[in-house]
Amino acid sequence: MYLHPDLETLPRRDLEALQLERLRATVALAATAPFYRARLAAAGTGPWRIDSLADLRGLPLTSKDDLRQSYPKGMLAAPEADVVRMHASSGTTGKPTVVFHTAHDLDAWTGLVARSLYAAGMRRHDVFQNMMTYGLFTGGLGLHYGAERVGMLVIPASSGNSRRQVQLIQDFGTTALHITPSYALHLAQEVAQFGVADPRELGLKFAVMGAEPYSVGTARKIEAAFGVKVFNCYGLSEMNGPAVAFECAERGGMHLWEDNYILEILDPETLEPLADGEKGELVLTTINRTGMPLLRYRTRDLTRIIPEPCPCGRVHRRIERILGRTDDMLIISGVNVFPSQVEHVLMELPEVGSTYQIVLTREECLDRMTVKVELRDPAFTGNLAELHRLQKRIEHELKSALLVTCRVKLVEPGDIPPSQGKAVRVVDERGKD
Amino acid sequence: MLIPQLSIFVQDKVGRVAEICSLLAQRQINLAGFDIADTTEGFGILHLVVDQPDAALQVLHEHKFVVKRTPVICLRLENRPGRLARVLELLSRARLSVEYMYLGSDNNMFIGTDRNDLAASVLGEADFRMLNAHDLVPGKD
Repeated sequence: MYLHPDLETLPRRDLEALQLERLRATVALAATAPFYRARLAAAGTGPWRIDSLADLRGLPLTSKDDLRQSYPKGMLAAPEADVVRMHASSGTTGKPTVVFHTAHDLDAWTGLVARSLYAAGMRRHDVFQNMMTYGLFTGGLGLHYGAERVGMLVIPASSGNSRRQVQLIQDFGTTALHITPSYALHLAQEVAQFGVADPRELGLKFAVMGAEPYSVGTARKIEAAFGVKVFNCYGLSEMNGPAVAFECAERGGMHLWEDNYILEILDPETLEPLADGEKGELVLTTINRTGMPLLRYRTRDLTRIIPEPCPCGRVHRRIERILGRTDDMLIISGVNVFPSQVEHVLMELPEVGSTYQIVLTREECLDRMTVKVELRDPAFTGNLAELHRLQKRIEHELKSALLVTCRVKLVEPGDIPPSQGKAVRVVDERGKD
Repeated sequence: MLIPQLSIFVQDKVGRVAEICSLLAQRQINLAGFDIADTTEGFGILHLVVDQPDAALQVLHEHKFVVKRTPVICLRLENRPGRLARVLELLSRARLSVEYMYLGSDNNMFIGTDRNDLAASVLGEADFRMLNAHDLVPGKD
């Protein structure tokens, strides 16, 4: 039932002793990176100030903007030769946020993924089909290696192409999927056209779902459609990726792996700590990462700690499914998008104004993003073909910057109401379920 | 010889073309030809030929329309078989591509090609009556 019984069920006191030891080492290591050397010096603190876990509060917070400012290597704490992998998420203003991993880091991350999948009930005889995009995005490779470590046959199917996905499931006896909730709902409808009358005939048992927020209702719908158990997975590329927190077989919240991360829940306004059970912003510190340690990273995700112990016996505290964001980040088909990224692309295009509106809809269970942009008078020649070319060019530019396909709709100047914050910039017409 | 035409960027929105027409009507501007090139993308281009192009351009700019002058060929076609076929044959022989065509008042035919200046000289050398801006003022001809 436990892949790492010593680390999953140790007494709280021992877990905290391990955390303290690892925190002290992490702060010492972080201080060798240019960013933290300056940041810790400015705050007048360092590893010598860490005598108890409560001393974490004296450390400065780290933001996504800090990561961007440190692009590409300002937060690297290991010798460059020791780095074996990087992952990146698209940047909000052109620069991506990059995370570097040493062999130790990948081993630790893979261990957490394996521990999570094992806790859900997957074993070496299972067949794991990973329908997440491989590449810089962490959902592909992260789950891939963890599933291999459990000993499963891993099918690196990547995303899309439903016909091939169904054929792989049938031909290789897939029992577990890693899939986004929106694609799962879409696939449930599509299988009929590939000769599968009922998705339950596919013989699936597990669905690991993360990358985008979803409700309990959506999870139950997918469970009913495929006859699977859905396991909620939390992660963010800054903290490695998936399996920062994961649901065990009890499925009553996600165990956040406290031997690798120290979690805090802060009031997003005052940044004061909140008691277990109160809803606030999740702030995480890596304590088992050597390539690029992050101290008190503001995830911008809203959740709460579930104070009651889990019947499974694991000591690691559970967090609630993500309840929202404290910034304007959008999640479109599992990809994180900031409205400022759209603005940045448009500012480079003289043919259109920088006033825009993002309209999000759902078609056949899949997210659709439409960006309305205002055509500027000097760019108009009266030629229809040129307008089409402009439209395609903007769609292409947005796709390269956001990594999400979107439709561009050219509108007349003045059509978009002047910006008064997020409410006008983004119209989200996707249903709650 | 080309006549003034206005091309207006219009998005699909109820009443948008009606608004343009009533703005012109208020200024006593008369339409001599009218066409909409529509797309499935939520926008189109409205072509207008009017008796007072400068006044029309001004009023449309005042109301923040995206509008350009796009001179066009205007032919007075005789109403008998084979005349349009002849026009298109001459244009295609000159390797000119027709982008849009529409009819206006008094059997006037408006033609936009990828090179209107060249198209005008090709047709001018043949026996077609090409109109100029002056011909479109009401009461003439």
